[in-house]
Amino acid sequence: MQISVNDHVIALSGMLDTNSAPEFEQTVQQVLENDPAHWVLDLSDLNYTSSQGLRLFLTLQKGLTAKNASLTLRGIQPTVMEVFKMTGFTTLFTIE
Amino acid sequence: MFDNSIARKKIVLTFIGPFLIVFVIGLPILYQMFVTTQIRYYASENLHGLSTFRDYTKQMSRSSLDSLMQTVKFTTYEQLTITDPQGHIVAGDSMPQFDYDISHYDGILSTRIVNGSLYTVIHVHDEDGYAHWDVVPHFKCFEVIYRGMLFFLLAGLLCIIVSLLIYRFHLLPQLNTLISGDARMKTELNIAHGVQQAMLPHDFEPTINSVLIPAREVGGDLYEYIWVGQRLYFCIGDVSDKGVPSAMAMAIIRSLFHQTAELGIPLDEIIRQVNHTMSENNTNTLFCSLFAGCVRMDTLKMEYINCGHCPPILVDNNGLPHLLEVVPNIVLGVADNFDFQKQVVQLHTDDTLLLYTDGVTEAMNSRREQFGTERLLEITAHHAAHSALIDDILSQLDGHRGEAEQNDDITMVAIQLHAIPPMHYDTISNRTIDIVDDVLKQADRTDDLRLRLAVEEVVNNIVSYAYEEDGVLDVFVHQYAFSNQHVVTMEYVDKGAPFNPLQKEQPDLTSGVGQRPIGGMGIYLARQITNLNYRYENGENHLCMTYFAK
Repeated sequence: MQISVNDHVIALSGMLDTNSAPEFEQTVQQVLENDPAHWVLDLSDLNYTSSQGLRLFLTLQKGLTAKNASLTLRGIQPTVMEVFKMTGFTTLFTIE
Repeated sequence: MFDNSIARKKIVLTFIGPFLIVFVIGLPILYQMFVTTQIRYYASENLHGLSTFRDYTKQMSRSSLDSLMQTVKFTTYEQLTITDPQGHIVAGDSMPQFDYDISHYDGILSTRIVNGSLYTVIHVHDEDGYAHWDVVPHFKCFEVIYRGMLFFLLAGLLCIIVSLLIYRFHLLPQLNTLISGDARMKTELNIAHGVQQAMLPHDFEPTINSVLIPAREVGGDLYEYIWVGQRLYFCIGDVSDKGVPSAMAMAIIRSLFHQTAELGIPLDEIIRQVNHTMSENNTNTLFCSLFAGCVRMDTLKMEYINCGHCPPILVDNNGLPHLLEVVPNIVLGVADNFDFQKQVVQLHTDDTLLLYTDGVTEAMNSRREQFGTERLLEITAHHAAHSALIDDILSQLDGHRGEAEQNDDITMVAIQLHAIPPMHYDTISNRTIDIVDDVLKQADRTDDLRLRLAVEEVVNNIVSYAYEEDGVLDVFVHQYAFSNQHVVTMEYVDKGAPFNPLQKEQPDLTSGVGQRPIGGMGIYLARQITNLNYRYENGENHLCMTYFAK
């Protein structure tokens, strides 16, 4: 998986699974500690996420909300959207 | 089912019936009318009879007069003379005339045809009460025949009209109902046939071959097989009776077996449950013979229970067949709480197990000779290709049966197994993601992201909960086809602390961000995608996963 952080946009591409989750977790921690602002999570190149990925999306959302910031998800692919729907995550996030 | 012969009978009766009635009743009446009309006509025209000489007959009784009359000969009417056997002229134009009218008429003695003309001999009596006879010529006979023909023609026409009316307004609507009902029934039965065939599991070459040929459109035979993790459950059965009622029972029993087997529970428990459900509401006293088995694919140890079914044939890997030793127990559906005895046999790689119903061994030819178990054993002996076994038996059955109709449903399932060892992983040197990749490769579904998600969640769960530090994880993977679907079944076995991941509380999907706990969704996701069941057995956690590929 590749993570690029650019101008308050985190773009994920590839597979977010047990393997790649720790790396993304670091990114999430850094964002929450250093720059709680309005963030966009660009998922247009992410084609897989396991529950570990979902857990991190939720951590980011909760952390930003607690610091009066916000998160928008963008470009969710159908395979990932299916997982979002299964877990009811579509109602928890602002999705573009 | 609707019988065509009923319709045929009705049509024939409608068209023949009126004719029969008119002619059977009408003909004697017509004849009587014909004769009496003639006599009346004759008598009214000719008030004197042609004949008789009273002197000759005067002394004779009526009966001797009659018997004399039977023997006399007629000549032509124009010169009518009647002679007795002795050659005496007893009546004729030359004889004295005797006048009488219709009031003297007593009845008909006989009717004769002389030289193409019809005469009726009648009894008359004279003023003095003496009996006489007269010969009445039916000179109008052609007219009467013509009239008669006209009568018959009109009567015939009337009959046809009556028949047509009956046909149009009474029979046709009835026939339409019958025929459309019949057509609908046939269509429905054809659909039912398709449904029933689709219900059955499809062959998964080269492990299992099966065939079910109902004697009618739908049948009461059944078979089923299902992998649950590394166990293969299978059964073959025969519901009493044939046709629609047994087909419905067959569908129920098959589903019951499938649903209970899907839980991965022990075979005797499955049979107990199926028998209980069947016995409970069995008001129609349908019963079912069944042979059910369960093979562990790693050891090929087979547990089996025979419920009043014919014993299967086990062909060992040297090609020697024998009937599997079975305890008969009892058919399903008649004795609730019956204690079915379970048996065990060790199978070997490339053994063939042939399950069949009595429709095979009891298939009859036109001389009512049965195919027989011996012949079935002969065919299975040294049969090289397992995949062709059923086809060979079917063609020999066809040869045996000849022109005779198939008398019972024919069902066979041939199972040839080879042991499938599970894959071993240890949770230290194998990263979760490597195990997931490996499992997906075994299942031939490396690109299936849905299955990947389920497998990843399950492996992750076991790795994080089963062991404090390191441990072993055995994964059994098997794929097969079920009703045109690609099915992957897996069994995850670990020796860690007993832990049933399915007992974890399901996440509340409706709660908002604030209340939503982070995590706890892995097994929930896996369950959305696959069927999971768990059992703790011999100090091991067994988690079975069944996945129906989209």
